[in-house]
Amino acid sequence: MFLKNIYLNNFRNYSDQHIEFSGKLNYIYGSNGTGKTNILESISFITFGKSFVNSPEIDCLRFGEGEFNVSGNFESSLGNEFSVSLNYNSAVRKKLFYLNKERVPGFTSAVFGKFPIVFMTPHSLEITYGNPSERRRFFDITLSQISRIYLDYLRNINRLLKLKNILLKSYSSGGKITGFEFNNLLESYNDKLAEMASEITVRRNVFVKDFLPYLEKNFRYLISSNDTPFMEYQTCLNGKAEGIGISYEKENLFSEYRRKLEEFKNEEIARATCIIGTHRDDYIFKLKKQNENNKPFLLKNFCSQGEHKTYLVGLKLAEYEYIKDRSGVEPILLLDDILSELDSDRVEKIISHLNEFGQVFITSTESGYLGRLKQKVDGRDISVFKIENSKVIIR
Amino acid sequence: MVNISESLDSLIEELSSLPQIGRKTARRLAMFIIKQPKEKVEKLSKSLIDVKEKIKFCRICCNITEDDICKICSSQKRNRNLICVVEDPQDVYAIEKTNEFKGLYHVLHGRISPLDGIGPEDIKIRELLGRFDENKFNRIEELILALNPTVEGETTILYLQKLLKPLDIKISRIARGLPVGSDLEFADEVTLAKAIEGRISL
Repeated sequence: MFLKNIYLNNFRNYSDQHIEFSGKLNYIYGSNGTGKTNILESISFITFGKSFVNSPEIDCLRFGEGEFNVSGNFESSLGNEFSVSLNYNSAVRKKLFYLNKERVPGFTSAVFGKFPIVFMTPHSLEITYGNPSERRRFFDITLSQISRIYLDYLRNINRLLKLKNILLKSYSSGGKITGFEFNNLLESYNDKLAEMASEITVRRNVFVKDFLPYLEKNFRYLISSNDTPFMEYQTCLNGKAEGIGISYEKENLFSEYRRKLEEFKNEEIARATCIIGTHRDDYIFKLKKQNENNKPFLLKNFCSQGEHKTYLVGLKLAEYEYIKDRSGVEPILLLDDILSELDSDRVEKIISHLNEFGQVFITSTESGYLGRLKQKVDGRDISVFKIENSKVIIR
Repeated sequence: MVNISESLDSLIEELSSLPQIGRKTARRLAMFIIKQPKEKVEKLSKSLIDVKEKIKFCRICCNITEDDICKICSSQKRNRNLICVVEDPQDVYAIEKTNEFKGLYHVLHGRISPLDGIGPEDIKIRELLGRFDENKFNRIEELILALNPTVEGETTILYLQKLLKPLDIKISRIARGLPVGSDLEFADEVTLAKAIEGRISL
């Protein structure tokens, strides 16, 4: 699956721009602030439904305009063509999606996951360094792209947590609800929450087990030593202490969540917020070093910056391979300005991998890497774009 | 833009406040109304007032009706021991069209949703509980909860279930699953998964 072309209308700094892409490697360069990332962002809109850097749609509107359009044509490996278009209107603050010129009621059910993407941006470094929310987001994106059911549970539990939070807040601020009604409704929310949380936990737990071999393989490819990566799934059920295992049977998880919700009920009411649930999950990254009695190190606390970066690249390559295996579709790889973030060794490793990827988009402030890319990839497969004054020039 | 007419703007404003009607549709409707003969417009405005004045909630099931008690609740042909609980009056019409359900209804007029500021006291739950008073009504043997399969609908079902538990009556909820006459391969994954989850043993 690859993106043949894209048309941008009033998107960010582009008023009217059509671009034809290579099915293999697309190298986009230009000075800072010229709009390289914007092109990748527009691709994320028609594949992923929203901005890959999480900006609200209104920010993507060209200054002074009322709506923007992004449309792209994809070609599958069998030669079938698909077109996806997005229209955003700032007056009604609404996104309308079209698949093959026909309006789709929901992006999620009609398009999401059809054209999977894997992206790496300077912000991706937060996956290993940052808060648990960064890791949840990373794996949620991976899992959602291969499982609509997971995505459905995820959206529903987020909605439920929102409902429960508002209930807790309105009760603590003395809303009109009576104590009896409040208690009954809170119990109902907790029942549903335990049900959805156990569905999500089951899937995240299985995912971590499935994903680990992919991480090990891709990590080992990046380093010369025999260090091995390791990751653990942590929920509010098994806590921070190591070695406390729980049974990941759905029925058991339900009763565990239900018990935990009961245990923390008063605290949740006192703090007027949801404490128990999958919105507090984390994934713990560890590194087993060769010479240190095989004792795993916590990546977050004990590893060097270089090891973090290697881990990240390993995670992203593993994500690519995992999605490809599970969905049967080669994801589109978006590499935004990572050549400046990573040292030449790791860049070299990624570049030598390029032939194994499907369609790749790379942005950079310089054209310097082109020479090295051309040694690895057939020149006919590379399209080079230079961006100047909000125009894309083919080189 | 030149302001053509204040009365026209006001009409467009009012129309666009209706559900599913955007500004463009509101403008188109307003233009249509302008082109109509005066009698037709009068008839339209009269029916708007009429509907507001005459329609009220049935004293028993809270469905909309012109009488004190709606036609379904006053019918002698219905099974008075069976009640189907729905969110909105439209749902009653949808189920009535099937011609399969012979019990009575109860319309909640919404579902519990703190996000929209709707608590348990804002929908017709008290009225539903009132129907279990055996001095006034026939004994209710079964309650079917036919709420929408959304997060709000499902949690409202759980809420009602807890509330009605002490009454010790049979409570059921409608099944979720595949549309009849469709092919498995065309069903979306989520619906199909729910259908497998809600399978029936043979």
